[in-house]
Amino acid sequence: MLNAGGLPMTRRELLGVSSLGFGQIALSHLLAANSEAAPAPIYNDLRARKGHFPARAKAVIQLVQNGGPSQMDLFDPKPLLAKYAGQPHPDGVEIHQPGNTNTLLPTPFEFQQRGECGMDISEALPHQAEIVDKLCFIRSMHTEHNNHSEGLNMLLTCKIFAGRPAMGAWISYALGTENQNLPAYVVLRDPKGYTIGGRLLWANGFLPALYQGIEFNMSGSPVHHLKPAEQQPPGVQEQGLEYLARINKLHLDARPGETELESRIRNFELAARMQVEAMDVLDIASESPETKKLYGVDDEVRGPYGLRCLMARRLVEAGVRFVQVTTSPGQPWDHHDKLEERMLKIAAETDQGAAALVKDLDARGMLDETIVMWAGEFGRLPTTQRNDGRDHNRNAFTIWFAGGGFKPGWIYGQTDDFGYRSVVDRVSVPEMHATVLHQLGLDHRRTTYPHAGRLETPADVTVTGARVIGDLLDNGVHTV
Amino acid sequence: MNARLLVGLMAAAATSGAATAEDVPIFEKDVQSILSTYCLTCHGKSSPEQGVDLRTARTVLRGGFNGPVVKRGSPDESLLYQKLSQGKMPPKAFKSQVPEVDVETIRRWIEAGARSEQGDGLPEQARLQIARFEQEIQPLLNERCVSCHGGDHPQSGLDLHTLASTLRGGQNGPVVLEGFSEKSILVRQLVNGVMPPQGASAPLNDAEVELIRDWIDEGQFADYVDLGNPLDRAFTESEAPPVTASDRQYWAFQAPLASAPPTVEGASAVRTPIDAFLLAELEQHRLTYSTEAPRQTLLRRAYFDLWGLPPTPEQAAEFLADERPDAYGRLLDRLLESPLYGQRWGRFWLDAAGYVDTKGKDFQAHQVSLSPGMWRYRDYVIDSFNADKPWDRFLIEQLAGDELYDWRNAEQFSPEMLDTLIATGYLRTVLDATDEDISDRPADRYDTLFALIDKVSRSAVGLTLSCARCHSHKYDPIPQRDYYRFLALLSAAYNPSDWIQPKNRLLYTVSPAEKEHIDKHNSAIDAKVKGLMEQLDEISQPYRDALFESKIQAVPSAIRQNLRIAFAADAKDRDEAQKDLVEKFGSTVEISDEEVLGEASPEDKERLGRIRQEIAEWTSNRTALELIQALWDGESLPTIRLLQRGSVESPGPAVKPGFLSVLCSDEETCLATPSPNRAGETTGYRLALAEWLTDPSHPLTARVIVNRIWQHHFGTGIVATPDNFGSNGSPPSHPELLDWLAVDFVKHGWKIKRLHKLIMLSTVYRQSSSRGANSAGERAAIEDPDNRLLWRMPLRRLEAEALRDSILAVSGKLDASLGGLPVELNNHPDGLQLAAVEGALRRSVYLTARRSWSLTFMGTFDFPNIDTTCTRRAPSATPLQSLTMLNSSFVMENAAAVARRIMDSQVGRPTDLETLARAAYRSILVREPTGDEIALAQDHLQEQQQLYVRANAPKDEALSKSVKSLAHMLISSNEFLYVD
Repeated sequence: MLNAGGLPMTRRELLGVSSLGFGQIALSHLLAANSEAAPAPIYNDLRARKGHFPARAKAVIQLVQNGGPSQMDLFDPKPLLAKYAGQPHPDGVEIHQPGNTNTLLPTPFEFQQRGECGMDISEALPHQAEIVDKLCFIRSMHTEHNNHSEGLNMLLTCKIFAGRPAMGAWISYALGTENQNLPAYVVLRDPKGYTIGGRLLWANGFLPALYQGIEFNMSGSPVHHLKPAEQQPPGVQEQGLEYLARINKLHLDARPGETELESRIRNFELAARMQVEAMDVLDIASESPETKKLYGVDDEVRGPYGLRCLMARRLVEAGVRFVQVTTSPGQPWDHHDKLEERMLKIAAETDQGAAALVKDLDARGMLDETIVMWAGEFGRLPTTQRNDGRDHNRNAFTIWFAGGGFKPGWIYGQTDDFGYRSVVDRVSVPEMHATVLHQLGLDHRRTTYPHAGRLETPADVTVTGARVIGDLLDNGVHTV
Repeated sequence: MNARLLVGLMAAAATSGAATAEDVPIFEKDVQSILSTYCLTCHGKSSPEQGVDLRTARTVLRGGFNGPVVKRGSPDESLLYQKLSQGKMPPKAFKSQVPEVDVETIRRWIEAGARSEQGDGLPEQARLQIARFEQEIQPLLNERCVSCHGGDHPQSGLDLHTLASTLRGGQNGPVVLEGFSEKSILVRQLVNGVMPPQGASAPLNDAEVELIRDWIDEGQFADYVDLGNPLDRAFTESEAPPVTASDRQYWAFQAPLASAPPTVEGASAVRTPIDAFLLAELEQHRLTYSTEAPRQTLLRRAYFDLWGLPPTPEQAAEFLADERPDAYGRLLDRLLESPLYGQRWGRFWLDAAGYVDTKGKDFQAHQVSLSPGMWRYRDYVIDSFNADKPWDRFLIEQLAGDELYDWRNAEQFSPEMLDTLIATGYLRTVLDATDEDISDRPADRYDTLFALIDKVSRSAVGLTLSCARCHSHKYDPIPQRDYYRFLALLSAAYNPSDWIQPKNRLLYTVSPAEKEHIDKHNSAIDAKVKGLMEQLDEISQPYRDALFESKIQAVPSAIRQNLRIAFAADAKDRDEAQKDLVEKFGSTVEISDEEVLGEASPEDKERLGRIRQEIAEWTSNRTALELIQALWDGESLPTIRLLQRGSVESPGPAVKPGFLSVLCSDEETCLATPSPNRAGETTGYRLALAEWLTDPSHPLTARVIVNRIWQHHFGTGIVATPDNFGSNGSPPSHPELLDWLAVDFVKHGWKIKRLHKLIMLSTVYRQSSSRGANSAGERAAIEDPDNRLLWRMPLRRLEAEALRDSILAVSGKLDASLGGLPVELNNHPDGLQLAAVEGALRRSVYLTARRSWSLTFMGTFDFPNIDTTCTRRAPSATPLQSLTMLNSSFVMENAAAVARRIMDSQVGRPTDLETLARAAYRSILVREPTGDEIALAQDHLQEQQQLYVRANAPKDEALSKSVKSLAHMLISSNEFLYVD
């Protein structure tokens, strides 16, 4: 192609000339993706919509394990750590905090091969050990930053800095949600407080605010302002809403065609229905004693997390698209010292709930269509910190998936002999995102939103080059 | 796969004893273990800081980005030895130090010629990997790639002909990143099927790609190939593509020219030149303006636009009764003169400036760490709007206020000096996470600079420069080199090689000289007070001793002596047992000042009282120091290098400070020179930037700000992407109008208030928002559904601040006072962020501005999370907003307050329902209700009363509750939330 001066066009000129809206040409050119370059629509509602190809799963439950769970103490045994205990790591390792010595630290835990798949799992996780044949383990994750907040931003948004939409926000944006009386994206956090990263971990970023995670409280009123701040006699609010609808109708009649006013009128109706439905969905009175026992909801230690896992199942059952469950406040998997004691504590809090969720979904036939994801922001070092702990390690960590077409009983990827670095079948965080989206019927390269002069994608594919990891899936990769 | 390397490596790392004096130190025997213990965490394989990798003799001797770190035979000229012997490494954050004996070993190693067992041979693994490339991968590349990526002029500068040329990469930087196949462009292009291009040669199959991936992931080759020094090279074609004359032809890069306003058919509707431009465009489409909005509507529109508040019923009555022909113009003048105007419009610039009161990442709901004195910048912005400070001056002060006056040597700050220093807070609200030593690494420092450039470019320049951080801009002619030139302009203040952590960037409201006086004054007082305290102790000690002895009798006798010893010891010297004792019995033996007074002799009592009083007097004479958050230059500009792929780990050639080539007439004029107008010991580069940006002929600055002001009046700018006037932004709907406004704005002194008035006096602004008010409305709705031609006034939703402030205003509780410390926000156990009681009634602009933990009410109504800048808020409509209006205590309490005011105003008058309904409409919607509305409101009041009576409420209460419900619903109505 020639430009006005008769010279071959630079790529920039080419992109500029054929600027269809926000550079769809550019993207398809860069990706050499399919030829249908119709601009993606821009949504600002939550109605359920179809993805790019048939969905294998319809909902996601994300169990975020704040702090950086240690791969070599939970999922990725390294006998050589015991053999060379106390000796230096030959390459040196990248540390994050003071108090490190470059000496190898063996795990204090016993490992056993479990299930038909023979997954090695540590005694710290007895409940997850029971379900290894339903899980798809990725032992070769790696990420980009060694600090909690950056690592968590990365895990949830594919970038270390704040300001991008979380996975749940992208998915709610792209697919909407089945039940209009509940939010598309619900966050179940510990009532005792926020984990590090707080609200950024369910942020909408540059997407409309509609797509951010909505925090559900675990007791009392699940959503802020679900019930009037002051007690009112029966009928007062209903009658008030009727009156409001009438005056809004008069207002709208004088402004025909203002769709935003109409949707706001509908929102009041929706809010009224949400008051009922949100209370119902979080009321576990109807759950059987066996189910409650499965999740350990009455146990002082396991109960709070177990309850959130049970709620997650109920929300997905009610048609919520994406549920994010957080651990207890702070960064409970962050074991810079006293690793054995502290790991057993958080493992005891969360192990049963997570395993129960997978079992329960499976028993109800929901696991097939629901992706459960268990992941922290990074892993830990094979070397010693403060005598009996481990520092952060972005170079390797293990996560697992269950359901939604992730191969059950599958162990993917390997780390080196000390578990310091992922070396075989490495999976980056953006690739993990691309793969989850794929199972929901979304081509991450075509899931787009224009922002600040750029067509953004969930895994920032033009920068990260992320691909769907087909080896994790039982259904192959859609190429169109 | 790794077992095979382990054994060898473990052997190599085996610890060794310190070499004796007679031995010649050998790296593997004597030095490696020291370096691996203290240095490899940062200078190891994963991320060699500054390019320095201290794993092997070979990598140590290779040095880093800035040259060698070891000079054989000369320890004193070797950076490695200097840093260790001076205690500069390891960094203090790591709290470890290399023992002297080890430093001495390293000294001797260097002195003796830096010997190594390995000599210059290759380790086994490297030899294998290099052979693997040559035997397995090179043939593949030769066959499929080298026909283009080889020869004298390889495509994109990428020569895949040898291992060295492959590793050197092309004009876009390296294509192979050892250990990271997924990040290596070579692999990405193969996997995506981009390369080889169709028809050029056969694509690589999966096994072939896997071979390359595996080789890259296994690594161990890059260290052993000599690539030459990447820093010495010239800019590549892709780092600095030429900016051509035709690039400069793009409209936004050409200075605006004001063309004469066109003549139009409907000349009677032309009140200002703005109308001529807009009408001409409408007439082209055979469309026209809508009819003028009723005065009532115009009134409300003007109040919300300029104040963000509804008029009071009295203010409304005043305007509606004013029959003078210029009543509307007078109304605008009144509104523009009020300080309520700056509180409204200052906020829009605070969005653009990414204003936050907090420091650091601010991601913990419960922990608010304020940046002391940051709020003075917020007040500076509001004051500047109220004073109608010329926009060019406003920008200059914010970008380089510290360079305008010689404040460093001033005996006292003049008001202008203080003001312009505070103005540089614009450059300080950016996220700087380097306060902790652990996150004060070069990469973290650059992150601050990157965020700053994102903010300055999008808020003030109107271009999205950030793309050019990693590669030349894909859509606009902005070379990557220009990005780093721009960055260099800011680097004397934010100097990545001589960084000041935020906690140490300290300036006060008084001059350095005055601060010195105050420090002296205060320390004199402190010394005096200390002396008095000693006197106090001397007098009271005997009484304390006696009291202690009598009180200690209450303690079991066995532990009395231990307790005495524990108390006699300094708190920090007590051992665990002593601490326990003190904790357990502290309260038993505690002695208050009053008890001492009670025991003291009359003379001592008198002396004690006198001394205490003296202490109080002295202390009250201390002068408090108050911080400001400002930015100022260090001594000189550092060397700034282009960062390949935007990564601190891959520096490229050095850049000179400069502006964007496409906005200069040629290459040379783009390089910045220090502004001759700088005052004091400062580089003058930021002032040069500010002067360049505010030059009347600058193509963007005036356009960008008039477009912003326009956007806030009409909901959408003439350019709909206010932060991006580049080719990927939205094209202007009315280019001639934009240019005319920009030129007119500069010609008349860059005055914002004049621009408001010009816009608001225009017919376009006075139109009705109703589709029915346009004679061609039906066709217009089809041909221009988005109303880009402005054939009617758009309906707009109140922003979060305007909504909250309006609710407080109609309830009569709004505190509209100006300035001061931010209102505290509290995080409640249920996750709600609420304003502290004190200050809860202030205007929203004064609430603590946090990065992501804004007041819940505000966040629900789209108050932005602050990343770098917010140039446009996206109004959403969610059920949570409805729930907030229905159920939040904020709305319910204010509805109750309105109801009380209504009821109170009716005391002694008949409280018939029609009167109450009218009063509610007047207080909340500031208008008279129609007959239908009265009827509906009456029914509502009646039904509500019945519901309350049925719930056994007394009749009076039922009535007041029903009025409250009416007020609540009117506040929740669409009419309240939208401006016609």
